[in-house]
Amino acid sequence: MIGQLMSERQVRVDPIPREARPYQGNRAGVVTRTAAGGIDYAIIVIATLSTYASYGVFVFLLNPRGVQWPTWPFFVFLIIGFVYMVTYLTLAWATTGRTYGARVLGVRVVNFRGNKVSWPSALVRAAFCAVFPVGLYLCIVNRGNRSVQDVVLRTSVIHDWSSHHRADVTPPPPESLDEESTR
Amino acid sequence: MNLAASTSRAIPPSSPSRHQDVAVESRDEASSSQGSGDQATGDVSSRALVSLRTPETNSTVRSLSDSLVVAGLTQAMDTTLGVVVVVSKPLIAVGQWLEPVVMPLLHAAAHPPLVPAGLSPAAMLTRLRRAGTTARNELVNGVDTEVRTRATPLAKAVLERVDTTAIVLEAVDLKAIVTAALDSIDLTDTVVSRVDLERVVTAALDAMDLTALVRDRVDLAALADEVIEDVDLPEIIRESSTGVASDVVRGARMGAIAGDDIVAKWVDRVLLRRRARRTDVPHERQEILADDQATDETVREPSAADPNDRSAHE
Repeated sequence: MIGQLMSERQVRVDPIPREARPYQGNRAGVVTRTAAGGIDYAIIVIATLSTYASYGVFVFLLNPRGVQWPTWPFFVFLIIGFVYMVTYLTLAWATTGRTYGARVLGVRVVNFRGNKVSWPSALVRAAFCAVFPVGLYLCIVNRGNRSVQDVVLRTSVIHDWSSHHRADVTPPPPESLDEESTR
Repeated sequence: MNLAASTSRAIPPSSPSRHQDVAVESRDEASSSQGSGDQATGDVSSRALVSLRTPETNSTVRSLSDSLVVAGLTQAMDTTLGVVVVVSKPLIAVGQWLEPVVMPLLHAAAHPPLVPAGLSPAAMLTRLRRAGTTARNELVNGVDTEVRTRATPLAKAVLERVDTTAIVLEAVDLKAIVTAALDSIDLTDTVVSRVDLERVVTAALDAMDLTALVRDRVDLAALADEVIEDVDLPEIIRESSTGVASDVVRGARMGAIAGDDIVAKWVDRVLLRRRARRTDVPHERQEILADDQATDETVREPSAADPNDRSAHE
C-alpha cells in the first residue's frame, strides 16, 4: 500500500547519503582531487611497469638462452606513462567524465555547461594534465577550487556521487523524500 | 417446646445476643415446664413474644411492613401483641406465685396413683402432643408444597402485570450497582479468561471490509509520509543495497571532502579572505539543471505540484 502511494506520488529515493548531498555539484577541493589523481597515477605506473615486464617476458620467449633483462632509460618510461595517461584520461573524461580515481572519490569532470567534455577537450585536458600536473594545485588558492587546466579549458571537477552515466547531475527534486526529511 | 424452637428460629441471625436471650429463656422455660403442661407453654410463648419486642426486631418488622405497605396489618398485630402482653403479665405473676403449690398438684394430676402409665393424663398429653406435632408437620409440608407449586405461576402472573423494568429503573440506583460490581471484579481478567477473543476478533474482521474502512477513514498519504520520514527509507534502501566496500568508499569520500574544507579554510585564513569560496556549479549548469527539472515535472502527476518547486517558479 505504501509502495502504491509512493508510486502515485512519484516519490524518488536519493541514493546519495544525506551528509554528502550539500556537496553534490560543487567543485572538489585539493585533497579529493589529489587522492583521485594519486589513484590514477598509480594505475598508470602499474600499467607502465606491466608493459616493461611484458616486454621482458616477450624478449625471454624470443631468446630464452641469451636473455637479458631489458634496460630502458627513464625517459622511455616517461613516454610510455605519458601516452598511457593521455589515452586513459581522454577515454575516461570523454566517455563517462570520470577516471577510476575520480569514480572512487566521487568526482566528475564537466565542461562549462556542466556536460561531459568533448573528445578534443578531453584530449587537450589530458595532455595538459600529463604535462603540467602541478597545475592541479592552483585549486588550493583559487576561490573556485579550479586548477590551471580548469581555468584555461573552462572545465570543472565536481562532486558527483551518483552512479548513473549522465554528465549532468540532477539535484534532489523538491518532492524527494530526503529533501523533505532534511528540512 | 416447639414454639420455643420456632421462636428461636424467628430471631434474625444478625442479633446473636437476642438469640442467646431467647435461648436462655427457652431453656428456663423448658426446665420450669418439665411436666407442667400447656399453661407453661402459653407462658413461654408470651415471654418469647415479649422478648421479640426489641428495637432490632421492631426495625425489622417496620422495614418489612414498609416494604409490603401493610401498615394496617402491622398496627393490628402490634395491638394484639399488646393485649397478649397486658393479659399475660398478671397471669405469669399469678403462675409464678402459685407455682410451688400448683406444680406438685399438676404433677400428681398428670401421674395419678393407681392409674396405669399408659392411661395417665401425662401419657395422654404426650400422645396428643405427638399427634399435634404430626399434624403440624403435615400442615407445614402441605403449605410448603402448595407454595412451591403455586409460587412460580403466581410470581409470573404478578410480574406480567407489573412493569418490573420501570420499577427497577425508578427505584434502583443502577449506576451505583454497576459501579460497585465493576469495582469488585477484574473485568479485563474476566473477559480474557472467559471470552474467546480470537473468535470475536475474527468474526469482527470477517464482518467488515477493513481495507475499505482504512481507505475511508485513514489519511494514508499523511501516514505514509510520517512512516517514511520516521524510518528514513532512503537510508534503509541504501544500506541494504551497499556493502562494506561501499562504506569504505563513502568514508574515504567524506574524509576527502572534510580535508578539502580544512585546507580551503586555512588557506583563506592565511590569504586574509573574508568571503567564502564559490564552489557551486557554473551558471550555465544551473540553467541546464533547471531545464532537466522542468522536463521531469512534465512527466510527473499534475497533483503532485509542490510550491517549493524551483522549476515552477522559474
